[in-house]
Amino acid sequence: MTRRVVRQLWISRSRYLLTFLAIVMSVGFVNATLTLTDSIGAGDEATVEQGEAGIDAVIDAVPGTPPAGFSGPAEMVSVGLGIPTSVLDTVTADPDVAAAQAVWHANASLLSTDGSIIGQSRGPFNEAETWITDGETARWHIAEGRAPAQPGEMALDAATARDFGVVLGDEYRLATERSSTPLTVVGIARYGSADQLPSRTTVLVAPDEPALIGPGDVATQIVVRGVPGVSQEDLVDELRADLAQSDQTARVRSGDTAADAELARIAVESTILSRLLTVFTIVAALTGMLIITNTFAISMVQRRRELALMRAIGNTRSELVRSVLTEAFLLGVAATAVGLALGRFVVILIQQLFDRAGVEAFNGPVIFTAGTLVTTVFIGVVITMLSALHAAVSGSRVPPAAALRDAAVDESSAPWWRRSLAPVLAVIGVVATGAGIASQRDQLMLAGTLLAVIGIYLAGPLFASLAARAARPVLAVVAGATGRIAARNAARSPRRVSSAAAGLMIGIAVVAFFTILAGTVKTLQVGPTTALRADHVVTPLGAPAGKIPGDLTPELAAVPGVNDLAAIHITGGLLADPSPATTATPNAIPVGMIEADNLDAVYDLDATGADAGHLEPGQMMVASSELDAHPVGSDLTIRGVTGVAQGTVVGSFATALPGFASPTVLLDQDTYAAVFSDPGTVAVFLGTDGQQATLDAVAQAANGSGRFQTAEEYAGASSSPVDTILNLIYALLGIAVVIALVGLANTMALSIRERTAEIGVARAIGTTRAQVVSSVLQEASITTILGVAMGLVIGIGVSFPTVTLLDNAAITAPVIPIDRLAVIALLGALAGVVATLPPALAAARRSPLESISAL
Amino acid sequence: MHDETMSVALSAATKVYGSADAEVRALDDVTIAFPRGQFTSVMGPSGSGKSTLLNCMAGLDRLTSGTVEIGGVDLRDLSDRDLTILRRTRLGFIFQSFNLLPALTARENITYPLDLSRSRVDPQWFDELIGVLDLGDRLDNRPSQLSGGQQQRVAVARALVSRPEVVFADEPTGSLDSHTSGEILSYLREASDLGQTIVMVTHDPYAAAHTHNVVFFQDGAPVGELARPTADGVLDRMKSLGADR
Repeated sequence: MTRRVVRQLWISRSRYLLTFLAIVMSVGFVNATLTLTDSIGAGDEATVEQGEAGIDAVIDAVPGTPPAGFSGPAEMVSVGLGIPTSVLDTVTADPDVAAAQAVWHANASLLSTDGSIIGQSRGPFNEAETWITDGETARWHIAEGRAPAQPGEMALDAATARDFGVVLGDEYRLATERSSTPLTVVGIARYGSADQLPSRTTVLVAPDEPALIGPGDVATQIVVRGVPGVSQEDLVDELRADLAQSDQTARVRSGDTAADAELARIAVESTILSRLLTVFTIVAALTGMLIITNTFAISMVQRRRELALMRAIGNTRSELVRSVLTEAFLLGVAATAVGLALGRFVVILIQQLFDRAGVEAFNGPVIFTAGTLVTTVFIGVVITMLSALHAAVSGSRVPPAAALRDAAVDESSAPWWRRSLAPVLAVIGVVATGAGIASQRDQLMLAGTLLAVIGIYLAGPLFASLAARAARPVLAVVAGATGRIAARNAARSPRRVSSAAAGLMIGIAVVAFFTILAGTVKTLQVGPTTALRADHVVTPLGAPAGKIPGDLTPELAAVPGVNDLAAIHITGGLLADPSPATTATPNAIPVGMIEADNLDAVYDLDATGADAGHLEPGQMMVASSELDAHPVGSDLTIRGVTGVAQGTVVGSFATALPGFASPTVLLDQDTYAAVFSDPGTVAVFLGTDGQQATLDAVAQAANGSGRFQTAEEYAGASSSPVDTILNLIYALLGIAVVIALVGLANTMALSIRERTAEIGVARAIGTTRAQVVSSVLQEASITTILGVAMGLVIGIGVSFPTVTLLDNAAITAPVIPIDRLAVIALLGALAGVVATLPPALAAARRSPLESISAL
Repeated sequence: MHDETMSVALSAATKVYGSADAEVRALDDVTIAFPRGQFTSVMGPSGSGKSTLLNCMAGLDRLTSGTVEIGGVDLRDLSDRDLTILRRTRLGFIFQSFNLLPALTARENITYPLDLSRSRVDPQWFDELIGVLDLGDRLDNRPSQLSGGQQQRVAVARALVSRPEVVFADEPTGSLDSHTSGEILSYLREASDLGQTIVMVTHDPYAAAHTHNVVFFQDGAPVGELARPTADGVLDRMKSLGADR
């Protein structure tokens, strides 16, 4: 039988070409995204394990639990907290400790004398770190030159040194949260056996480098090496006992545990990327399955005659089903093989794409796991066979005589359960989502959203016939007979229209969703720009989590001609429960302070109850979204690095502040300085007299410490990192959308093919070629518009619950960028119509005689 | 030279399929004209060229050499678009398998050729057609809801609605029972008696008996005519044609 099937496949190869293509593309993209997900940061684990190998225990501060909805590693939100260096005495006194050293860590930018950033392009999270002097403990080892020993000396990771041509003796400035300090390169270092920490530049400084050390003598961590023979676990128990009395905030972890955390910290980029890629994989898989199923359903309808003939001459139903299945199997295997090759090509393409964008996430080997193979084969072969099975069983159920008699056009509508269940699901889903948001029950909300999306998808045929019905009078007026026939044709197979639209729907929904999400996240930064009244702004150099050196603010204030100045400080604190009985881990929150004589002159904080620039000690302000939790008059306790702030809420503010996370609570200046060792300056807003001399003086002062910009430049720049990521997302989704479009073209091509005779008749009785093309395109536009509209509804709908999950004080509702969505909708619709052009032209080109006799 | 009394005129029309060794002359130097207002049937055994004749006259196929004129317009000179518009405005078609557009209702099918060029339907003529063809209560049904006879009546209405120069019918009764066939042929005869030119290809002597004139085809060329045919007369001629071979 197989040989007959192979011959059958070969004879009808043009019919299967489109199915083949659909499988190849779906398999290719799913394979690519899975491979990339596995390959991201693949080499990171080994690198970190080796770098951290000499460390037996790490002591740092107890981190707060990250705010709900925060997806990064916990370390990200509590970097502001540290461990007092006084602990070091207790630690070194322990006989099991061979070596211990206080280590400081900071986001930092390395600047050349002309102000350009060294290492910026190698990843957004560049850092400075204290050199560990004990050679056995040390993370870094000198490859060339010597270790930094004095303040003013530095070593640089070998990868950055190589890429930027840094040699011993070069001088640079190191801009950190504290200061901007000139340093001389005395060594080139390697991390474990690697040239660098994954995707970042590291500057290593002397143990007492003031650029990193805070006034409170609070270190980021204390690294400990035990004496030989003491296990990491024993050492940790020992240290915990030692520190139990002296310091309650200290956290002791084994070197191995800390290394895992370190891996999580440096792999932030990879984590975000692999999550995104997972989303794309799901999108690609869903789209692919839909298209394969759809293509098969249509091609099987076309074969009804042939199947009926085979039954009429004596084949049993099971024989037919078996032969169709064999066909599907062979087709699936062949297409999967090609798809795997295509996937490898897409991997290279995407790597290039990320490289261009300066995101280095794939520096390890390309990893192709068994799981990837299984998933890929599942989609390419199993889904194909299931699609074929479904189509063959329903196709063979038709009585042979009927199939031979009827024209082979699928006019089936959705089964009753689907028609009646879909709206019910959608309504229940929407209600549950609303209830979940209102009652802050995330599970209910998510379940509701899922139900609603499934409901909308299942209601597709319903929408399709509604859309076709609604389009008819419109098209009939606009395009006359061709319009009427287009709408009628769309109405004939609502199920097919809806499944063709579904691929596009998924693509558009995800594109719209990410656009809304990006737009919403952007308001965190754009919000400040609309509230900005200053004419100039100084922002941190380099990393998104960067800070302006603390010593710059007084320097800027001293420049003559600077009339008004506001320095915005933000750092991480722990929101402590006022009742001492509780043992729950405190919540980490962003805490802010504004240093300004006349804040209103430079920034519209939209504050009520108090002036943020002139808070008295003990007075606090909260973001207006937090007023429910912390109303005016309530007391708050916030633990910082060097102390505890206690105060009463006296007012609130509605505008977000710039920086990584807008603060939830604002403190007065004195308390902030007492409780936090680092100033955490994220922006300085300047109201100047506009004189060139003033601007020159400010630029001079900011040089090498911060980025001096006009308000307009600032507004433009603040949205660019989000845009870069969004563009990457678009590029990836673009591929998924292309698959959806191929599916759409596929569906239209097959629909047209099964209507060849009709088109021939229409041509014979006077329909011009242009009218045939126009009619097909109009029909496609109904499908396309339906897909785009459903996609927009789902994308926008899902963004509402997602935004509440972000749980960010500054975001209460998604910001819907109507202009961008309009462009997406327009492009989607246009692409859908363009994709249909080739089959439309092919249909029009056939001579009417040829077409009429095609049956 | 255009003869005003002729709707369709072929002159030295030749149609060759295939090439060189496998050449088939489907039409071999045919010169024939169909008078205005006449209902003509073209008969002949399979492969006699009668279908090719119809296709070439209807502008669905191009001649290898020679000319076809419809109402004085030489089809050779027309582009595909102009040819299509000519089919839409000056020709009517009736097919064996009805070939209505399944997506459209009966009414929409009937007015489709006029709708294509956004011409107004003459309501009086439309009502008259619907009345004669007895389609009044079927206008909003789709073809799949109609019987074969009803479908063919819709097709007749579609062919006649634009008052074309000529209606081409290709075995219009081939898929119908004898009673329904008789009805359809009576309608066509009635239309031609009112001045409609009709050319019908058929191999059914009873169908041919409804026409004014029969033209017999053999081996790609006309071999005789029979005016005011009867079924028996046609049958005799067909037999003699067969005997000639």
